[in-house]
Amino acid sequence: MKVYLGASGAINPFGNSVSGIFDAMKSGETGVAKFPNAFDLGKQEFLGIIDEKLLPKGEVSKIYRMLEGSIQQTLEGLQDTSILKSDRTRLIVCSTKGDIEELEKGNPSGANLSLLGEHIQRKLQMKNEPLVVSSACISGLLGIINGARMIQQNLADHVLVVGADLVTKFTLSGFISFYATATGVSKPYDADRDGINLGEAAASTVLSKDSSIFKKVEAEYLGGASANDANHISGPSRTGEGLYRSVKNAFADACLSAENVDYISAHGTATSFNDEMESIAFDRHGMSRIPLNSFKGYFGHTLGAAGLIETVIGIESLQKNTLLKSYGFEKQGTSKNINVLSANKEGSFNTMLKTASGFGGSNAAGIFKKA
Amino acid sequence: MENLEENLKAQIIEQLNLEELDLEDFGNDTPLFGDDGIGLDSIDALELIVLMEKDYDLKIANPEDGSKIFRTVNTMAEFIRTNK
Amino acid sequence: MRNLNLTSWSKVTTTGIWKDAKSVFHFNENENTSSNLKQAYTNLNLSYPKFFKMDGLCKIGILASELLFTDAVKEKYGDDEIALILSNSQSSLQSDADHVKQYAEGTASPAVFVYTLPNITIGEISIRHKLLGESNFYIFESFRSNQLLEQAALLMSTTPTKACLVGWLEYFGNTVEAVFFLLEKEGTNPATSQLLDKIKDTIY
Repeated sequence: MKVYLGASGAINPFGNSVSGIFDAMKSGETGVAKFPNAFDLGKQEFLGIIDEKLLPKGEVSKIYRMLEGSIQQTLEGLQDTSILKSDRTRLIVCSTKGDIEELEKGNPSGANLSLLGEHIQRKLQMKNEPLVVSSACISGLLGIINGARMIQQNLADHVLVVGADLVTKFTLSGFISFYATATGVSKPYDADRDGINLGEAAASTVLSKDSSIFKKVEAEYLGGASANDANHISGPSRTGEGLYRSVKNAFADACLSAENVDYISAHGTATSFNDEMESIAFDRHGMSRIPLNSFKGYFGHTLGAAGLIETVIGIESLQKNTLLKSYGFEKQGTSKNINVLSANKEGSFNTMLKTASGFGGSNAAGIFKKA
Repeated sequence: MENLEENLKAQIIEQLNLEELDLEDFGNDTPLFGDDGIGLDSIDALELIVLMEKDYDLKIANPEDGSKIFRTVNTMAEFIRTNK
Repeated sequence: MRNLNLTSWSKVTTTGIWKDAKSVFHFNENENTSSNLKQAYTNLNLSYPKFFKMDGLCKIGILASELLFTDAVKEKYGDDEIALILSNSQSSLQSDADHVKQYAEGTASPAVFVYTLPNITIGEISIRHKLLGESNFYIFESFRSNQLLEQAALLMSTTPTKACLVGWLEYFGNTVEAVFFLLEKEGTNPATSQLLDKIKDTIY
C-alpha cells in the first residue's frame, strides 16, 4: 500500500511556513544567534531560539504555541480537515522533553509528556488516543516511520505526526556538561567543527493512504527502519553499526538500494564523534558520492523535533529542485569521504534518504520520494 | 595534601559509582581508562572534570586535556599539586 | 495482524522480583530501594559493574530484562530479531529532577544528565544483551497493553523482528515498578490485552 505525505507545517527561528523557512535557508542565512549569557549559565552560547512574534497567541506555554502554529499550517494543507476526527485517524506526538520548564518551576505534572498528546487530541477533537514517542533525537523520524507502518498494516487510514522541543536551561546545561556545545554557529562535517547548537522547533505532517485528502501531495513514504548501536548510551558507535543497519533495513523495506538515492538529509550534529560515525556508516553503504547535508547549522539541533522538521524541509528541497548547501561546511573533516554540499545545487532530485541518530544508541532511516 | 592520592581514589570510587571496586583494587599507577586498567569511559572522564572543579576548584577548559590529566591517580595528583 | 504468544514475563516492584508468577527475590522491607536493588544484583549474579552507574529506571529495566533474556532465548534469534518496546507515564522524571537540582546548585553532572531520556533504558538493555534491532519508547497516561501489543505486532509484520520485549517501567519517588513481557511467534499462550493487564495488576 502507498503512503502519501502532505500538509506539512513547521516553525523554527526562520519563520512559520515550510516554504518561508526553505527560502531563508536557500538565501544562505542562519537562524542561530549568539546569546552572551544563555539561561544565566555564565557562558556564551549559539542557539536557534524562536521569536514570540512568529507564534500564535493564546496557549500558556511556548511549546503549545509552537505546536499550534505548526498544526494551523497542516490544517490549511488538507482538503477536508474532518478526516482528523475519523476513528481511522491516529495522532503521533514526538518530543524528548516537552514542557520540561514546568519541572524547574516545581510543577512536575505540568511537564508530563502525555499532556502534549492529550492537548492536541482535544483541540482537534481526534478520536484515538495519541501515541507519544520519546526516543531521544530520532523521535521525529521514528514517529513518521511508526505512522507509515500503521497505514501499511491497515491500523489507520491517516496519521497526523507532530513534534516539538524547546531550548531550555535543562537541556542546555546538560549539553554544556558534556562539553558538546559549539563556540560559534555549528559546522557539521567540517574539519573545524566543535560541537552542536541547540535549537527549538515544531513541525507537523499528515501521512495517508489516500492522496486526495491533501491540497498537494508532497511525497510518498517508501520505507524506514530503526536500529540500536548496542554500544554506548551517549557516544556513537565507532563503526556506525546502528546507522548502517537502519539504512540497510530501510532499503530492504523500500525494495531500493543506494544507487536509487539522489540526496541524503543526514543528522550532522557537528560533534566530532557523531559526524565521523555517519561518514563511516555511509561509506560502508558505498554512498560517498551522494549529495548530503545537515540542517543543524541553519537552525540548530532541535532534538525530538529534528527528524520531523528536517524531513519536511528535505522534501520541500526536492519539490523546489534545489539541494541546500550544508551550512558551516568548508573543509572535509571526516575520515571517510562523503559528498557534503558546499553550495546550493539545482537539478532534478527525486529520492531522499533521511537519517537520525541519538542518545541511547538509537538510529533511524526513512526514504521518501518526491510526489 | 599528604593523603591526596588515597583521597582521590576514594573520590573516584564514590563519584563514579564504582561499587565493586575497593581502594586496594587499583594502584596510583593503574590506568584509569582502557581495558588494562579500571575501564572508565567517556562519561566518567566528564565526571572527573566535574570532580576537579567541585572538590579542588580546578577548571579544565578543554576536555581533551583530560586524557593526560586523568591517566592515573598519580597524574591527577600531580595536576592538583602543580595548579593549586 | 499477527497473533503473538506470551512466553515469559517478569516484574520488579517495591517488594521484590518475580518471573512467571514465581518469586525470584524478596526485598527487605527495612532497607531502602537502592540497597534492595543492589542485593538483587548480587543475588542474580549479574557481575555487570555498569549497573551501579545507572539511574533507578535503568536498574529496574536491567533486572527485569535479565530474567527474560536467557541464553536459550538469545540463541534462538539473530541480534536484530529481538525488538524492545518500553513505556511509562513519567518518562525519566527521577533523573530529570536530579538534574534540575544539580544545575540549580551550579554544576550539571553528565552522568546524571545522560539519564534524562527514557529511552536510555533501551540503550542499556541493548548494550547488556547485544540487541541491535528495532526499538521505541512510548509515554502513555497509564499502562496501555493494547498499544504495546499493537506495536509489537506491527514490528513483527513490517521489520526483521521475530521476538519482542514489551514493557512498562516507572521509577520515581515511592513508585518502583517494571513489568516486562516477552512476546514470540511460537507458543501456546496467546498474548491478550486482558492477560497483560492481569499480570500487571496482580500483587504477587
